[in-house]
Amino acid sequence: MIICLFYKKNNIFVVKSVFMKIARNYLDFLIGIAFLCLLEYFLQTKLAYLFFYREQEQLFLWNSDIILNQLKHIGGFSTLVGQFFVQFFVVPKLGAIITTIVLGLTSLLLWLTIKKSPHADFAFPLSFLPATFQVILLADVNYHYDGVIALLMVSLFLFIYKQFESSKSISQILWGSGLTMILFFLTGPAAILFCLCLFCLDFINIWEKGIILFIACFLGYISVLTTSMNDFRFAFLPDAYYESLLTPDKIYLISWFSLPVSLLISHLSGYTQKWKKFIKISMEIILIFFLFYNTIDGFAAHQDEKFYQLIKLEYLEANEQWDEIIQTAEESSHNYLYCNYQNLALAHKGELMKHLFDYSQNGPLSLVVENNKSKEVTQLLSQIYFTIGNIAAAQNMAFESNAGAIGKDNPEMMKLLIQTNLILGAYPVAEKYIHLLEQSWKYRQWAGEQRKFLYNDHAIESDSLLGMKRRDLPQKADFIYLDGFIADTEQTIQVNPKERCAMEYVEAYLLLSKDMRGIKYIVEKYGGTPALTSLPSIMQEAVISYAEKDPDYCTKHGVTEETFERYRDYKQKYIECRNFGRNPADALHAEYGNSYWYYLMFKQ
Amino acid sequence: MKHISLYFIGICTALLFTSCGKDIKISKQTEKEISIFPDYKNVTIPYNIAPLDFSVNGNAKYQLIISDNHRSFQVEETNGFFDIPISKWKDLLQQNKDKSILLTICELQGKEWIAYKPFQIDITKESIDPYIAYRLIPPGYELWNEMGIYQRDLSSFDQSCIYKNTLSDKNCVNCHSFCMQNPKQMMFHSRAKHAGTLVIENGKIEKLNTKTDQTISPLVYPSWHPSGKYIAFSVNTTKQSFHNFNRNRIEVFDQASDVVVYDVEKHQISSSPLLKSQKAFETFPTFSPDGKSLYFCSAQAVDSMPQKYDKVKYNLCRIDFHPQNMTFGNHVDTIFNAAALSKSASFPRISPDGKYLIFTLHSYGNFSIWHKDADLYAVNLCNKKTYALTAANSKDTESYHSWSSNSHWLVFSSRRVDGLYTRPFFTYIDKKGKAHKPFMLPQKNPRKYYRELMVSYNIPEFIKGKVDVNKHKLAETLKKSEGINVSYK
Repeated sequence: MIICLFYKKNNIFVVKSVFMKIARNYLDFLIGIAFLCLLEYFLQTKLAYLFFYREQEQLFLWNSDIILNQLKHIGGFSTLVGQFFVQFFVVPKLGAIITTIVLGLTSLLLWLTIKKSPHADFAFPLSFLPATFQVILLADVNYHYDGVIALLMVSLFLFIYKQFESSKSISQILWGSGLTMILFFLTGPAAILFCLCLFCLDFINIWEKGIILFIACFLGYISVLTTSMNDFRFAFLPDAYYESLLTPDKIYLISWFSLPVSLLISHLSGYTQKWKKFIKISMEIILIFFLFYNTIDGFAAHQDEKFYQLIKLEYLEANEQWDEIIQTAEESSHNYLYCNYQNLALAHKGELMKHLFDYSQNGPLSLVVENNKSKEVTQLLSQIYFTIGNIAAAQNMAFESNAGAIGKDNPEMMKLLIQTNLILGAYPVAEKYIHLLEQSWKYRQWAGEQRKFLYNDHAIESDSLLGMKRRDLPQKADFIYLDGFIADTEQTIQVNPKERCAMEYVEAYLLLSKDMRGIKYIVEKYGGTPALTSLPSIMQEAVISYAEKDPDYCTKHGVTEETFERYRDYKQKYIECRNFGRNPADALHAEYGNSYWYYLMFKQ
Repeated sequence: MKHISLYFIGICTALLFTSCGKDIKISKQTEKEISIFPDYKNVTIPYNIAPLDFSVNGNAKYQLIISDNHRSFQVEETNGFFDIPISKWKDLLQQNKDKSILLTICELQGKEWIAYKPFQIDITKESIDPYIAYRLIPPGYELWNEMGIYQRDLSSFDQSCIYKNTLSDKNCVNCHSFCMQNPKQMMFHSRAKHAGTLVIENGKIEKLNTKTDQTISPLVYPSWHPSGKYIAFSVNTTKQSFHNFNRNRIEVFDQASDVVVYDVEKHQISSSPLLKSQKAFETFPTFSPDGKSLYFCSAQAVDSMPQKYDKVKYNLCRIDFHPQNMTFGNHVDTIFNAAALSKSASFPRISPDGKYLIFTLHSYGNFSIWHKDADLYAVNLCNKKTYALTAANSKDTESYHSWSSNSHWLVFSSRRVDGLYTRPFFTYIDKKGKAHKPFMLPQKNPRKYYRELMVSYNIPEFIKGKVDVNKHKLAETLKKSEGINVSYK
């Protein structure tokens, strides 16, 4: 009986051990899944528009020559794979999903490597540490996606190294060096990181690992001397995965070293075998909390909220989501760029003159910003100019913006270049760009559809968009940008009075500039013509502002009795405010805040 | 008659002498012509040029037969182009200096091979300089990303980088120039970040700061004195404006410009009142091969630019130059009065043998790459007659050009392919100064290559050998050297 009891007790113990082991394994699995789900949610919530932006900063071409040429360069593989994935970011949610999978794989491979260290169970959360840093880095558009791929490759190579590790000195050197050289060619300086990680895996064969590291450093040194690499930091540091003209923040170095640190701590966990389980579990929970805090706090510190809003507006504009643009711009703190997008959306909806002052405006720069020659501003201006029919300016801005794309071409700008070249009759150039886009995954269908316009004036003139824009082409030779926005846009109005947006932009520009002489000129010249069949109410308000004492003039130029009535009411309330010592700006805002009178009087 | 005989012999050779393998036999000969890209029909080429691979503008299966009086070989079209074997090509050209070869394109129709009307390619006995150098840059306006100065081995398809701007924080590099096509003596400018001018002589690199109080800008368009001791430059205040609807998308113009000469050893620049007049825009200097004349373009100064952009007309002028003391003559000769014809001249370049001056002629202004009507013209410096290089010109822009060292080849920039992206073309200039039909820079699969190339070839210059300069040293000099301040004499 004692033997049976002992046997039974041992069985329970074995069962319990097995059960704990299974629970432990499944727990890791569940924690991993939970991490990935949270990660995906976080990426989708916080970085959705950054993924779209990344997709727009490059054009991945399914072209064997280009692909093979890219692979010939050091780090070309990680660049190529990065670009390959990024092309799919144009599809909603795919950016977050792909990135989650890549970071998940990185963490899994790292965990499989860490696991080989004895008693490393509690260090499981550390396998997520490098991935969480990547989330922080991805908030910065200057960080290239190659870096994410490079980190995955390092994890993969560490796993492979550990799988076939040899205790023999020569074998280890050959094996490690071979992997290092391959990794260096594929990813660049990530190979240096790989070598540093080898030191942290375990503390044996230090000399051999030193030789492997030396080989990696030698490769880095040679690559700087023999290639177009600008500086040694691109051969040894994560700077290689960052915009070359900028110097990355120290968070990039911290992220870089988080991988070997994770391995080191995991290895040192071998010394914790005497620690109580309670302490280990606590350590694990602390690590998990640290990961969360680090990610959220680090992300918040590195995300440029203003820029994020801007690229959100860029995305909405590219997808013609005008209502969302208006709402987003209104919700954000106001700056000229947001206002430009907002007004552009209103124009597309045909509501610019109807709702101009329903939204906060601050001078003509709210309508058309000055060109500071940045990528984002030239892109915005290209869309504005195209909308109002200034095709030469649209083409110029699109070309400049495209030249500034990080990955050489911006698909939306390429589309605009195709359209403007078709409109201008530059068919060979249009065909060249169509051919380029036809090699992309997302844009090939659209590009193929443009072929019918090549060398086919009739097709262009019959097309509702291209035909209208062709009719916007000026007949009088002149230079753009020289005499100002009004002069340029007026040329479009004169040649194509049906280009509604051109007239609305002119009206809005003059109103926002408080240019009464200009308003008078437009009203007198175009009032009652096809370009300006009826005067919008805010223009009527402007007319009253400069011709208050001449009601016949006002009536003749389209001011209605309703507007007169409203003006009388406004004037009376203004006087009452003054008489009663109330601030008229505050008092009149609710009822007249969207009037031109209010803007004229109270907006600086 | 010679033409017909050659044609007959070529066809017979093609029909009779077929080598083994995938060679075809022609079933029928037609007089129809077929279009190819690039248009290499009836061009004149040097014997040391790379194979002229080309594509047929059609969707059938094609075979090419290349033949001379004695032999022929065939090339099957693969991947949409004829990939002419380089060794066979070289042998054929070597054997046919100062002769012609015949190219016959055959199309498979059903089971028969139908031959189109063959065309010939003339091969000169004069070689072409082995390399050209050029900048590759998108045909943009103000913004740029990556750019570089490259060199191309003309006997093969190899292109290598002389300098790339990624080495110096993506600044702008331009205006590369060589002394008498010598790859060991060259210069180029660096603009924006790490600004300066690099002069490289036999491995020695100097960075110059070329702006002085007496000049309106840093040094711009260069031209080496044949001795290598001087470089003529223009100094320009250049602006650009954009047309609202014009085939010429933009107009680049000077608001002021002068010509100066830089002493390479003394780091001094000098000029003459005749080259620095406020009443004139002087630009595009170039030395004569004997070094005793300085040619340049000059236009009456116009205020109200760019409004009066089409009123600016540059003439071709010349002034004496005394290399022994870097002084100038006391009068300016007008070599070609373009203004009198309501035209404008730019980029004068004299052949190394001193016989011909080639320039670009257009309706107005100086930045001819943006002028669709720009064409190449020549002045016979013996009899002073001016004429168009008709065979070399097209309906689109022909602009920057340079001579080979033997005065028989001209490389020039042309936008004839698509109207925007500049490509280099080569034309043979015979003893009478006549240009022959030009050919585009050969590439492997040229249709694909040029169609997908999103940059223009800028400032093509012949060089007698490969430039072998350490680009990292160039970058280091640009970034770290203070530079030598150039003074005004």
